[in-house]
Amino acid sequence: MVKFNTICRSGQERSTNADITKVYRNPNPKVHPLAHAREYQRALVATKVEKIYAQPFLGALNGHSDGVSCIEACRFNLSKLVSGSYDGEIRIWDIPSRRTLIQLNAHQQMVKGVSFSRDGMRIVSSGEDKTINLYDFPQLLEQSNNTFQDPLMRYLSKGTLGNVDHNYQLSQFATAGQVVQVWDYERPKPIMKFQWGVDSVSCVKYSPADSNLICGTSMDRCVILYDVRAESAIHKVAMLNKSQCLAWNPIEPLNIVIGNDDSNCYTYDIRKIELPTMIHKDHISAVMSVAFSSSGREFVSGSFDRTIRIFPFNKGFSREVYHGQRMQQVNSVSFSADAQFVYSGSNDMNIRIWKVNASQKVGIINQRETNATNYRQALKEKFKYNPEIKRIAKHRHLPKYLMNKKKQRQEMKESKNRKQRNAELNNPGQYEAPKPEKQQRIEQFIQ
Amino acid sequence: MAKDKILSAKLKQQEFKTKSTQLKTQKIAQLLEPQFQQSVEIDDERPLLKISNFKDYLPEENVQNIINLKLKQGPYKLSVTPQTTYLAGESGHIATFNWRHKQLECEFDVKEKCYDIVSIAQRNFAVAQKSCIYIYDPKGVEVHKIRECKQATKLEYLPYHFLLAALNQNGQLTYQDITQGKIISTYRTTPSPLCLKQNHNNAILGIGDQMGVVRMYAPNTGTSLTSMLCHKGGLMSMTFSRDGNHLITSGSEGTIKVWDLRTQKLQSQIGVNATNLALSDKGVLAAGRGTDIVMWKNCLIGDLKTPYLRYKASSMICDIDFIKHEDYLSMSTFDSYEQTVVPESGEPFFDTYEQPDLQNKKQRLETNVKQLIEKLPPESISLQSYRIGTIDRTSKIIIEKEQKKQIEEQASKKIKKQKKKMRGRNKIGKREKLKELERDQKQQVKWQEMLSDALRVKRAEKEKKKIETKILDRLEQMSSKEFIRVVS
Repeated sequence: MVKFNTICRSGQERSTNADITKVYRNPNPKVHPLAHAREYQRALVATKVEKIYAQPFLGALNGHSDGVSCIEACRFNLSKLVSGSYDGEIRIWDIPSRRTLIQLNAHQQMVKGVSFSRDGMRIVSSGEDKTINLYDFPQLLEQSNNTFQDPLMRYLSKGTLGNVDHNYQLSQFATAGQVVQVWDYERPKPIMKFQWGVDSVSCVKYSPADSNLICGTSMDRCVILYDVRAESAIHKVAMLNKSQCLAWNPIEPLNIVIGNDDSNCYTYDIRKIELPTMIHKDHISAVMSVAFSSSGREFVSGSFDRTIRIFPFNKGFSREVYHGQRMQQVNSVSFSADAQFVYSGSNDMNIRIWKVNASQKVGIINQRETNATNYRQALKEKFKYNPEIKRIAKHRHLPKYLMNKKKQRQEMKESKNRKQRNAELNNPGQYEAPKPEKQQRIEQFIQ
Repeated sequence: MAKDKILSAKLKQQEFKTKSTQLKTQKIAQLLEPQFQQSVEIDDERPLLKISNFKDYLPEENVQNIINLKLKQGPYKLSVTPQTTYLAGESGHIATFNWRHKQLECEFDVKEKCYDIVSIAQRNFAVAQKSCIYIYDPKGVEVHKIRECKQATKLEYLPYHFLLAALNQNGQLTYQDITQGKIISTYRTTPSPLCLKQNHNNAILGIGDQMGVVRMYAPNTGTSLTSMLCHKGGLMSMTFSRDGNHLITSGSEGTIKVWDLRTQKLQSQIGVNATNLALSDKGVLAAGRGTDIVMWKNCLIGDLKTPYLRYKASSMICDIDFIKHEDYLSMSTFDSYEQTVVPESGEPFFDTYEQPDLQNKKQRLETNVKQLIEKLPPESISLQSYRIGTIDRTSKIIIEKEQKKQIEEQASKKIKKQKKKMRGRNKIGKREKLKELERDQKQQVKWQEMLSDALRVKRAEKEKKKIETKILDRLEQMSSKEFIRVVS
């Protein structure tokens, strides 16, 4: 009995047009010649295609007649955004249609801070004219054409005000300023005041996990942690430069990121606030505003050097930089609640909408396309250390003034290191080893 | 230290992932293997030697594809794909037809001698004619005329690099990019080439010549990458295995040898004379001489002692080729085209993304675009194709040297042009003066070279004279001694 097999391909073609065409895969490497070269070529093409499709700027919301000082995206509703400007105007925007829903002349002077309540129904705003306004959103919508609407409640503060932050759980909010004050909706006076030293506090933020913790940055270059239940501050750390802004990590609420005037962002663990856990260096001028994404993996920082940068939470350098020809100093940034978009309010009276992943397609993507994008992403991950591909993936176009400033800084840093090394080599025993950089930035830790 | 730990941990994780996915996919592939094969049982105990023994037991589809076409005009050259065959007759008759559906695609007469035919990019085909190489449409319309390769006798197409390689009778090898029409490189290989074959795993071309030497070529280097002395006589034909590890050659002194390419050593041999060789997917070797074809199974693993099948064609064989992913052997003879069944020779489990010939129309349109996007650069062709994307383990010193060289080359290429300004310092008169200065400098350099050449010539002459005088002295001495001896 002799037995053998022969190939018959008659059953291969589909019987009707309605049937799917079958796709056969053979993982045997003998069937795939030149596999390594082709995979490398595909990875190269994938990185180049990503650069081709990188168009992060989506649109701008214009309408303000003076620079935008503060913005916040609603955590509850993806299409709402509130912004305050230097001339005391507050606008609530509908982002998909790019138009203003409500326009209010809220304050006589500059709007220092705006905040949504957690359910998106209330809006709190603080102004330089020492008043805090509380608005009710449905009420505002009824009389949307009246720009001189009265707020639901108006609170008067004795001292000057900084920014305002709404409590995550209760009907309370905290304001920064000469003293940190905690207000309740029903009381006309603050229910609690914190003061440590004589300097005013520029920014306060509630912790997303525990609404009894407030963190603030003050004018005497300190970062202070307050406890509401104990009615006092816990500890603070003084740095070399003052910090402008603060953000809590929503997924790891023991970590905060502060944006400093020496163009760096620092990540601190609040339990051990004497030393920063990470220094994020990439900006050239003071960092004006920081915001975390809801995934807790990335944060965005807007700075005085007219760019916004997206940093991964655990890396020292930015993943992405966005700049515009007409975008001036960025005063405030915010992440959208679904972590897909970044909003930036700047001195040129515009609020710009950017994509978080510059080459991602916005809209409905079908299954085949998602499969292809996932495959390309896996290829890029596999070959990301390859020098040719790394060079293409890392490349970002920067405007000329930024490039020059960056090169200058690099030169200064290199020369400093070189001099130190030479001094150590030539004068053994005389020079101490320099402190680690994280320690260099801290001046003092006070309990 | 911490960074190394993290990196090494990541690498370990990646390795583990790739290995485990490999195993998983193999298992799944085994489970999901589509049933493309039909098993045939014969009551006879004798081994299969002739197709007449088992033709009656074959399934109908295979019997339908046994073809014997009578053709008229001269010996034919052959190129087969899983869908179409391309035939080029020596007197100029060119025909393409779909052997599966038995449909003629195109047929025309060129009225000059045709040396070789090869299919390009699943649609067009190139014919090496006496005047030059022509590329034709599937309908037979002439699309391109390649004048740069003169009197090419052998053609090979590298599918993933879109390169057409043409070999001359004088040994001139030309690589041409099909997408751009540019000649990548041309150089002389051997003065007496006999056969040209491509290693599909590497995209390396092997050229065998009258001296029995096989040389391997890539478009980058003008010289051969390696060479092997295979036979005492000339190399009649050769084939590579599909995984690129074996080379089978037949020499004019009457042997067929199987070589292991990784060690470049002889694996097995048999004393059979063969003018044409063909190797199937699964390792069935077909050797043709005259009108006979002998086939061996498992030639790469085992020895070539017992033949598997024999076939007798109707006239002298010109070209034989196995059809990929099928169990058929096709051959072109002096006056016919024949196709016979060789069971268990083809790979039944194909991959749709690798075989555009076995795809339907929509899939093929997509692959056309994707292949162009993923076109490999010709500089990447090398003997060890698996090294692309891996870590370069050459020493730091060599890498630094190469980098320096590259920088120097780039700097020398950049010729700085003087900016043309009409106002200010860079006026016209000054520019002309500078140009004159440059010219003078160039002339000076030339004169210096000439002088140094003249000096060199003088020195050479002087040395010659010295040597001559030395020799003369010695001769005088010797002659004087002899004279003395003779005298005494």
